[in-house]
Amino acid sequence: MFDQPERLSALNGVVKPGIFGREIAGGPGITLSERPYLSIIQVAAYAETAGETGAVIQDLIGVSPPTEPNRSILAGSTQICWTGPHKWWIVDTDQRHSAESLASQLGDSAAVTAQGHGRSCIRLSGPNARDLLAKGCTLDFHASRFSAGHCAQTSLGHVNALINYIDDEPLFDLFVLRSYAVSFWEWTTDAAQEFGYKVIPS
Amino acid sequence: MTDQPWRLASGGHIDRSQTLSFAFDGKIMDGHPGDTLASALLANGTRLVGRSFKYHRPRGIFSAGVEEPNALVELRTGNRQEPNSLATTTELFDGLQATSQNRWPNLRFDVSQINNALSRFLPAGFYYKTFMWPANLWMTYEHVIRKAAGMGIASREPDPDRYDSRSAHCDVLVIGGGPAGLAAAMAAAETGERVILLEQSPHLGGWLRREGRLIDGAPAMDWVDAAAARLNVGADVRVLTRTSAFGYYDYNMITAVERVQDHVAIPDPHLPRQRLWTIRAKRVVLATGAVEQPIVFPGNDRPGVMLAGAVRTYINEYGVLPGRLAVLQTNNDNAYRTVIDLLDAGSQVAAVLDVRDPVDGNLPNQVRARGVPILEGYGIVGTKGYFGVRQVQVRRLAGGAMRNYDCDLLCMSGGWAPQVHLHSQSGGTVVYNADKGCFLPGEARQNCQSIGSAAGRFTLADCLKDAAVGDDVAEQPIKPTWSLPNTPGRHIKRFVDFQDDVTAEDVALAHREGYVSVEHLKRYTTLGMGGDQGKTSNVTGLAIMAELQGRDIPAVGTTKFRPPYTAVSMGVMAGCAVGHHFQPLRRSPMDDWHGDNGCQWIDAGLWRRPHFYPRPREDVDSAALRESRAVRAGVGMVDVTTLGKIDIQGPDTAEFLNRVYINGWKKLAVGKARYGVMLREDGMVYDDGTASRLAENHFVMTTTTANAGLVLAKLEYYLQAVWPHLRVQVTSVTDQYAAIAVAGPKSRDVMEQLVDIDISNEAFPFMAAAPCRFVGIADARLFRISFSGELAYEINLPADYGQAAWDALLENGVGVYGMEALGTLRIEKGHVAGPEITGQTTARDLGLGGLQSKLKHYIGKGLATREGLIDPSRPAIVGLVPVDGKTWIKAGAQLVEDSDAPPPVAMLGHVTSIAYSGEMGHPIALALLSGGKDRQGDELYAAFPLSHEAVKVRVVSPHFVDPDGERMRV
Repeated sequence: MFDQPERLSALNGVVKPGIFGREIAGGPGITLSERPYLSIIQVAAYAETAGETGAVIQDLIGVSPPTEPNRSILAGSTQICWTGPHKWWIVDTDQRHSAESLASQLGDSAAVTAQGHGRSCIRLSGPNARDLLAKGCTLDFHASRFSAGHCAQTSLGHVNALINYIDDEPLFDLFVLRSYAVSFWEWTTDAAQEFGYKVIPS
Repeated sequence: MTDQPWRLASGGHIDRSQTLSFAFDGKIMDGHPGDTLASALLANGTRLVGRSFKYHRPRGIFSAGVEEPNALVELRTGNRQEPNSLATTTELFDGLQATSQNRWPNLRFDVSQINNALSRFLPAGFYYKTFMWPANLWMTYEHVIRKAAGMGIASREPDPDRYDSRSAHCDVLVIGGGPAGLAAAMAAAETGERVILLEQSPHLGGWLRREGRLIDGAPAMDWVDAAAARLNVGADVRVLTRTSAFGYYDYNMITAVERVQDHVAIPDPHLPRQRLWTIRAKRVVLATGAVEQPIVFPGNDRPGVMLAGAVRTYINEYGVLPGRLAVLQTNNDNAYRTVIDLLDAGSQVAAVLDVRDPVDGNLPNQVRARGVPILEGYGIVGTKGYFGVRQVQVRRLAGGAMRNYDCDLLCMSGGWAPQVHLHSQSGGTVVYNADKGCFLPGEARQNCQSIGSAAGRFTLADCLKDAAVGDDVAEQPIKPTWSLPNTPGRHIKRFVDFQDDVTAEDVALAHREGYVSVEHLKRYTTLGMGGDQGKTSNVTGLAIMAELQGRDIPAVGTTKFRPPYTAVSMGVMAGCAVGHHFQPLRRSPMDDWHGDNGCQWIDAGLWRRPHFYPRPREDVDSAALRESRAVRAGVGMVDVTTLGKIDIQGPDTAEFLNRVYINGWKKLAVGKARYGVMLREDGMVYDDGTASRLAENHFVMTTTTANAGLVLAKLEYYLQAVWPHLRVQVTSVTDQYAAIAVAGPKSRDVMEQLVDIDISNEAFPFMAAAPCRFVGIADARLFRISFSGELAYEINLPADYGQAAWDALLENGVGVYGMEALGTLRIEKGHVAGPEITGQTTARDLGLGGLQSKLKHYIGKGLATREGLIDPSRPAIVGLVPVDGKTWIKAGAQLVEDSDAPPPVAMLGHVTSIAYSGEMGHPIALALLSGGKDRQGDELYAAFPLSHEAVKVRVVSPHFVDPDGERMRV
């Protein structure tokens, strides 16, 4: 028998802690870290099964998934993001919610697809976090428009991304397709040069 | 320190305590912080700054802003050299190097000034008319003409600086930081709105910096400083200086360039040199001001001829005296302020020529009181001075004797043109106002409003509104005057557009030749087509045109205002999207390994894939031959992560696949895979791949790498728009799984060591599919599918384990192969791929017609049976071998019956894919050949006329290796 090998994130060896870019008197304006090895479960229901699917998720996680577009909910370490009509991502730091058990509970009322290996997540924070987003995306990230409970699926630095607001620091989680992760990291760190940036370990 | 003989002892917003050293045409001079290159040149007495574009006439500084047509210089050297930079807006920095343009060998002696002597042979349209014939020589003429007419030289080295872009949103965008813009920005900021204020110059204040005006009884700049301080404390107020709004697009989107570091010698590498802003505003306030217009007169282009407002600017903003003995030509009261400022600064003013008669206003009378003669109803009829004006010749406009005035500065003012460019770009109309003699913004089409001078309201009271009280004096009306004629019998040039060397006579020529529309006038004469976009020439040109046509100005109309308002560098347009940031690169989980092991890459859309893994002295062909032979002889593996993988779930999944593929899917058993072909609606093949049934209502589909996104989008479209009642969900899992194809007769021997399921031929036959654990990796999926034609497996693994799986296979002795060998293997099998699935081929053309189900409907079925698509003479897939058994056949070669036949030659088809088959021992090819199905055994030529090659080929079955597919099933 074989032991399960170690997971290797797409950014393994690419994300190196340190302080980079322009020197800023008050410290770097941007802080970056990778959030590797997340569990991401996509649940896609149908119009007529949206309610029952939401109820199953609520049973499991304790909160009802958002029904308004581009909204997210934080419940402890779990993020639930609206990613389409009656479609959500359940994101967590560990694998406690398994796609298999969710799929067996939901049966044919929703499609459950694991996406944890298919996405890379970069956590962005610091006083210039919103400025950095504005360099790669045309959405309005002003605090009055993008704050608690908001997420967005958009193009960020030429790459498809899901941007999830976490807190007022401001702090954002940026999810991109795994295959783009290195390119996206290169774009992000290049865009952060002018603000000075700090990379912290995961 | 060098002398600055024309610098005033005091005044201006410059810092005399610091000295900056700069060079112009190699001559070292000094200036001060706050100077522009133009003001520093004038302070040093340098008036000749360039040669004109066409006639190479000496030209001097004409203005003090973005409207400058003459003072275009090359800035900096080496890889930062930039041509056509405006000396009037270039901030001076220590070490600045500038070079004049359009002259050879130097500014004072320029051999091309012969063009001026020949100018009567160089009218508008000269090049078009003269070099039209013979047409094929234009290529030669053009080279020489372009060189002679050049507008400076750009560096050919890569730009060392960083450029960037960003977006911004606001409630109110105020463009222009003069009195009107500042007042509007403060009013908006007070209501708590999100405000952005853009100012193109380095400082706020606009014209208040350029005149000694009073606001609320104190120097106007005190009010400006207070306004700037108030704006700076607003949390949601962003003030961007050195930022030019240059484009106004739909949905109130404005683009602007911020010159972050153009004013420093060596930019901080972490900061952009320039930044492109894309701003979306709820409301836009255009406080873009006005640009003074010239009056065209004979001999009007000599150095020392300057706009009257520019003269005030050099005195008041830069503390520079542009001349010691001045003459003013005007048609309005405002320009008299220049005379007052000149007198205050110690200059003499020989005379004021005013086209109006009588002249009796507040400002003119102040001038009169100081002893300056005002010649009422007078105009200039000539000037003297080659490198700088020395004398003006004047005459009563109604006729009479000529009088001469010596001078070293000739100021002129034809009134002010509101900068309606952005208003017009936004879709708003512009309307000519005969009283003010200018175009004003008319009806706006978007949520924008023009204020202050930009709206033709030139008084401080109009600009400041309720914010403060100015010191306006009453002015007499302007008398719109565009050009003054030559005296009878004289033909002195009267320049309308200095930058493009367009004269009033050129406009007249265009009129005589029948050009009626101003748009045609512009293109024929090049009027207004320079970098200044005709800011001081367009209106004059069309007014002259109107006069010649005997129509009024509104009837002639104006040319369209188009972005950019001021010149924008290509670098800032590209922004940071250069080099490896040009587009993102997709990498497989095994990307590092491929690179570390010396693969040669090949692009596949945004992905990069290993093309081949060369050993010493191997080229692509020998490497591919070795790699493909190893697969047929034993076992090899290839990274196929890039193939599209689409997870399809839901109760109606089998029905859905049945509709999108040409073959049947309902009866496919769980645990089985099937090859499928999709058509477009028009009956042509769209894509091919496999789909595997993992559970009753759960399939996973593969697509080609190139079409992964397109197929997914198409499936989503069918589900959302065509069959919304089907309960099916599709989602891409391309990135979720690493995929490795393991192929070759020994592949089972390896794979059975690594998986936790029985993969004997009985338990896991050809086209089986099952979940498994692979070297301990959970949630892996195993498929027994084959692209190579050998016994083969494809293993999918959660992507973070891809490298671990790859390593395990390597440890078990599996060699690697790349795209070239993959291609060889599939060509040997006659499997179609991108070169054959071109969007012009049907399933029948590709030998896949037998898959088309007669028992069901599917996308493309209806149109696939069109007469033309079932014509037996259509090109169909065939194999080709060289008759001599050794010559390579070229991909793209045309198939012809006779290689020596004179053209036109009937083309029977073309070669799509080529390879050297290790198994056959000679080159092979796939081709699309007209009526190919029935031509096996025929001998044709694969002709490649570009390299005069023709290979004699024999038509064979496209299935070169194992035509019955026995090897895949063992």
